[in-house]
Amino acid sequence: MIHETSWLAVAIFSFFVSFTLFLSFYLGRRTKSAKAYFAAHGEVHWLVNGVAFAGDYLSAASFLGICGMIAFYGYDGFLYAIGYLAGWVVALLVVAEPMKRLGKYTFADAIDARFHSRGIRLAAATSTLLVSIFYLIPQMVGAGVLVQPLLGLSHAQGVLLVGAVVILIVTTAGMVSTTYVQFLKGSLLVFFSFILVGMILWKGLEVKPFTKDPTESQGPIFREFGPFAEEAGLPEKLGTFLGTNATVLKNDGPWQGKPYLRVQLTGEPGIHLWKKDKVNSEFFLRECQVVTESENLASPILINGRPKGTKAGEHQLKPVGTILYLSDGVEKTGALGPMAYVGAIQGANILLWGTDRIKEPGVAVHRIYYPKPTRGSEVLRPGNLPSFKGIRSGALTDKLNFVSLMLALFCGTASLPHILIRYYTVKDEAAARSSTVVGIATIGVFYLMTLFIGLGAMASGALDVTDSNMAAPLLARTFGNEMFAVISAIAFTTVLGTVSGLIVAASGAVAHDIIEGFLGYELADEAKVRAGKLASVVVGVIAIVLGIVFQRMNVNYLVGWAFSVAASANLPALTMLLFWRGTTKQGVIASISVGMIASLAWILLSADTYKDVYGLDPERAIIPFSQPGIVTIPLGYLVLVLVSLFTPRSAGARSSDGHIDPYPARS
Amino acid sequence: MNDSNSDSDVESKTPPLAFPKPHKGGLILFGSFVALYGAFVAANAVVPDSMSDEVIPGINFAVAGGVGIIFATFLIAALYSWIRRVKSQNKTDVSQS
Repeated sequence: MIHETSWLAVAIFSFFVSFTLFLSFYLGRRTKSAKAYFAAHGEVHWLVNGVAFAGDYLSAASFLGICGMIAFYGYDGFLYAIGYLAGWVVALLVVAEPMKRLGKYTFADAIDARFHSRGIRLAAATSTLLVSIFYLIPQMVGAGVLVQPLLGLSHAQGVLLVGAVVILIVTTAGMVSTTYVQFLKGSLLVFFSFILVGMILWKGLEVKPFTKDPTESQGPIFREFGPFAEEAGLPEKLGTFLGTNATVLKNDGPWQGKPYLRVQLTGEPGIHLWKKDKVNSEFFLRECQVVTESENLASPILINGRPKGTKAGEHQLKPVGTILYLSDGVEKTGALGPMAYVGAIQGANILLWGTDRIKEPGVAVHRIYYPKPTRGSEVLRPGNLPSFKGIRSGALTDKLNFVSLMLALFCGTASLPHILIRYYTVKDEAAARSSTVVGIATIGVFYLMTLFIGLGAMASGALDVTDSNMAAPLLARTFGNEMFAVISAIAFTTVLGTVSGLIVAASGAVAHDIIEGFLGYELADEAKVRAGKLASVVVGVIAIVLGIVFQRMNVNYLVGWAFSVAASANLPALTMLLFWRGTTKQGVIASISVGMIASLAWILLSADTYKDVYGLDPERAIIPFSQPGIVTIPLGYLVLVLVSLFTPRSAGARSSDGHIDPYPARS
Repeated sequence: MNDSNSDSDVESKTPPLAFPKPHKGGLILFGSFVALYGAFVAANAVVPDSMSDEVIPGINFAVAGGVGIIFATFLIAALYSWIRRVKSQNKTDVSQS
């Protein structure tokens, strides 16, 4: 789809960015010390910190990615939301208070509190940098996605713009400005999502079935011919329906055996595509959408037969997302309560879209989007998302892939460095606990709303079939340009808030852990802040580059990877330090290193990476399933235990009050 | 560069630091939640088709289970917060008396 620039959205977006920058520069005047820069003086109120937790955590993946996944694949997107929230139980019950008690600026502070080891510093800092960069990629991709329709910029320009704004926020006032940007963003996101959900429920659902009209459709209503009793003769029947200027081409070359019919209209350079669908014993012909990219780079991209564009004689992809049928033959429901809305979807028939790709060597590549009428009861059960598809197949590896992801989401939250450092911004352990509870409430309410935003988008008739990440803003556009402008601008601050937090975490790892802790340079307070700022700029630039490279991936999927690496590298060390007195320095270093390398290697060798990153045949991947957590998280624990058993203990005597004394007298 | 920053040197200079003992009530809540979440994930993985069966009219096991996990998270957060507040209140009362 080609999106028109909304000037109202530009105005609101500019106001948000200006206000955020003003806040950063204002707060920057009071942010001179390292404690202020890396931990916001440790004086943030627990309520503000709790909402800031939500602002930090509800990233582009949560807002754009989950809503988009639900809109395109149904219930599977909601499973991500459940996993993301469940992880907060680990944060609250296991990690919150120890982190606050043991740390100062970074995740490594807590991990290294018992041993004061340069090796632990280096391992924990490397893991922080790696996880932060992995997590930054989807945020930057999300930023590019948003800025395209909002400002009419290209993806790369959008990523560059976000990168520049975030670098300014972080280098002016570090954790202080980051906290308030996140607080603002968390509050606005939940508040306006609430309003959006209200509008969705008020509007209810409306049926938009296929049309039998042979003339050109505009979307979201598409053409369907049939039913036909037999498959033979379908090309001739299609030609007759479409009229004399339509020629149905013979299915030869790579098209042979495919369920498509190609139609060439007189005077058009490209093709239209129809899919043969068999329903029970009858056949239907359904209109598809096709993007044709010629191997001759000078030729324009063709959309449904004509050059891509908005002028006369040009085509763009049509919006999608419709309800074909509601139970009891209802055409329009009117306002619905939350349960009735889900119930109506459960009884409906919904038009989802599948994708296919056909390459004509030396000629062109066709990206095909075909309609998939799907029962609501299937939409609201697991297994529609391509990466979850296998859980209904019975194949053990596919089921393990799903369990592995859900384990990583559960274990990953409490291992994310940018979340963990927020425990240092409050004054004590009670405040750390209270702010986690506030964070859970805010995040949980938001995730409940994603179900309705996603389902609302699914039935909105406004989706971009090529881009699931745009589902929520495009849904908002159906309620008017004002709503689109506000939701887009909030989504943009969503990216700013999370990226700022990640960059602060990464800069702390460089300045505090690597330069001071590992290399041993003793930095004065000001020099430490300067080093942190410099590191922020470097990490910001890396994020910009990766955000451009990974443009086409669903942001939520990429975050799943970051969770896997964080959980595999950080959680075993963090929890075993609390629960097992036998943990040694070498065990911690080995666990972080092995967890990090193993999870990263697993991801890089997985079928999903082969397909989406390298463009290779996923069948050639040597790893049996794509999500590493179920193997690499236990591996982290196993390595820690084994190495600790074979290395001398330097700490761990239990004191009389039941606490573990990490620095017992040396023998 | 400070060459004296070896592990042993730093360790000997640093004062003892108490590791917080995990709270028993918190561990019980944690165990209960792990069991609940584990059962939910297992049900989705093992019997995905049954997840579309309706628990109440219009709401299937998948949605009810997912929303249930979200509310269970709220409940556990509230319970833990309450337990810790009561405990810290009791400690204060004992020390004052």
